[in-house]
Amino acid sequence: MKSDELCSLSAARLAALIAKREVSPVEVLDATLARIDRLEPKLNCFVTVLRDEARAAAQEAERAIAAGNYRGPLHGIPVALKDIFELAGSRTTASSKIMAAHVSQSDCTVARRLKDAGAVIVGKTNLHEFAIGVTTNNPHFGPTRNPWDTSRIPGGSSGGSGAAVAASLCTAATGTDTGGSIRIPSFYCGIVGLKPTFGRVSKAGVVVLSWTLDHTGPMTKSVEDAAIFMQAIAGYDPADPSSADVPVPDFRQAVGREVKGLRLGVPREFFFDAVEPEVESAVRAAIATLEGLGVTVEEISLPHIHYTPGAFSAIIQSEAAAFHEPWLTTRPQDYGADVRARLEAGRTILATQYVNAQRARTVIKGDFERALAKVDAIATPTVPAVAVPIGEETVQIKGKTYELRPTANRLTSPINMTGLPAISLPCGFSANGLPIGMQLVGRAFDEPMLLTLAHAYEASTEWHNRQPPVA
Amino acid sequence: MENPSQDVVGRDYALALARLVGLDTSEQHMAEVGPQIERLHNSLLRLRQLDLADVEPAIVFRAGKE
Repeated sequence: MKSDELCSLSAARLAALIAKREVSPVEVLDATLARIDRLEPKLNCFVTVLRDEARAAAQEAERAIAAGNYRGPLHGIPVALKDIFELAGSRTTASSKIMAAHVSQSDCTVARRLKDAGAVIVGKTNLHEFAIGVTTNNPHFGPTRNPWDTSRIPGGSSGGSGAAVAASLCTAATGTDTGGSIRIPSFYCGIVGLKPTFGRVSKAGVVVLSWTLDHTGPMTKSVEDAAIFMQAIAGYDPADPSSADVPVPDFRQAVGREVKGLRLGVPREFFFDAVEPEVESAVRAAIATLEGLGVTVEEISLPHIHYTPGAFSAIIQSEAAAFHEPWLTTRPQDYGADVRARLEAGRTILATQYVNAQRARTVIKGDFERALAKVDAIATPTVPAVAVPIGEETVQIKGKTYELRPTANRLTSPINMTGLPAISLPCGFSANGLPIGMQLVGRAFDEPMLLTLAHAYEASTEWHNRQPPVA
Repeated sequence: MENPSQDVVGRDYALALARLVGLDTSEQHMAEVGPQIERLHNSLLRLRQLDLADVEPAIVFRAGKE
């Protein structure tokens, strides 16, 4: 098998080859590093490529597998960490000037669990500075470029992870998601991104943006890969105060289950209000595909959803301003202009406004819980419009101009307010060849339901098999 | 400071808030942060229309057992 073909395989398919010893982890890593060498100058996905460490890990995996100690489907698979996850001995910069020289003393829980599963960590990916933004147009480490059109953004904040997975510079990657930062780049880059239930995956050792909204999760080439990744990283972690001590299901078993008779809700309000027609038609076609597989589709109502943007802004900006206050006071000039302005604006939020936003959150969460008592999952577009050119701060929707950031996270941030799990998966392409994705939202700790529905859709379509032109 | 109960938060209110919390209020810096403050507080105005009587803050997530 050619080197590039090897890189383009999903973790599930690579794992099958590695387990049978038809391909070795070192061979896979060599192919991946060669591809990084060739494409990274065009895409700028990584802050740090960990060549030596990855080679040592791949050699160790090869030895272990040869000795009969195969650890499972991530053993020997090249993965990347968003550069906000601490990894012992490597820089963890949060793609910021402020943390540019920070070297991690220990592994975050997710990194440790990935290592335990035998994954080979090839590098740390670029992000929107401190995960505060949706473009990954980073003033300190340069912009990451979308593999489907290198003049465009990959989305953010986990843009380096999204672009790296889409361009096969790694097989899978971690992301964080505070208002959509896993799902937005997954939409723009044409990959699968899963924001698990709040508390399902540890945040210990991950740089904070907002304590009550932050989530960590996988960004992958397929739904099955998301299940494989989740199996490795999910589970209670006493080092994370918001970690939930709930049983971890067999995520991979959810892949391939029958979907006939499942109920899918489509929101009446908000989620299709200001969406580009080609995005809406792709998502409605995807819903029809699921209906064709025997899923019952019904309209649902989320009557207070319009209060989400204000409440979300109050919470994320207050909490981010609190976390950043020491640096904002002593090193304000070291932030990029957009991030500094957002953080400083957060300092002007009154305590009463923050508390009322958390009260609004109770109301919004109740809407979702009532809807999900009637249906198994909710389907929406992930993002209202496809990727814009790098440097563009607005987006056109139905002939109207909208500010990019609040538009890009408009359909994803409500789910962070609820803590519910949500997955984004490819469901089409725009006329100019850019990916479009659908978001599925489920009940708390019911990621398996999302994986079942998402896989059924994926198995019925070919979108996930397309390769970006840069590749 | 102008009354924040008005329907739209404007430049003067943003400037007053910036002063209150000790931000750099130079013209150059306010050109960057001022619109952010205005947008943020305008988005918060909508929350006033939500009936929050008997609604507690969402301390929805507990550590440990769910």
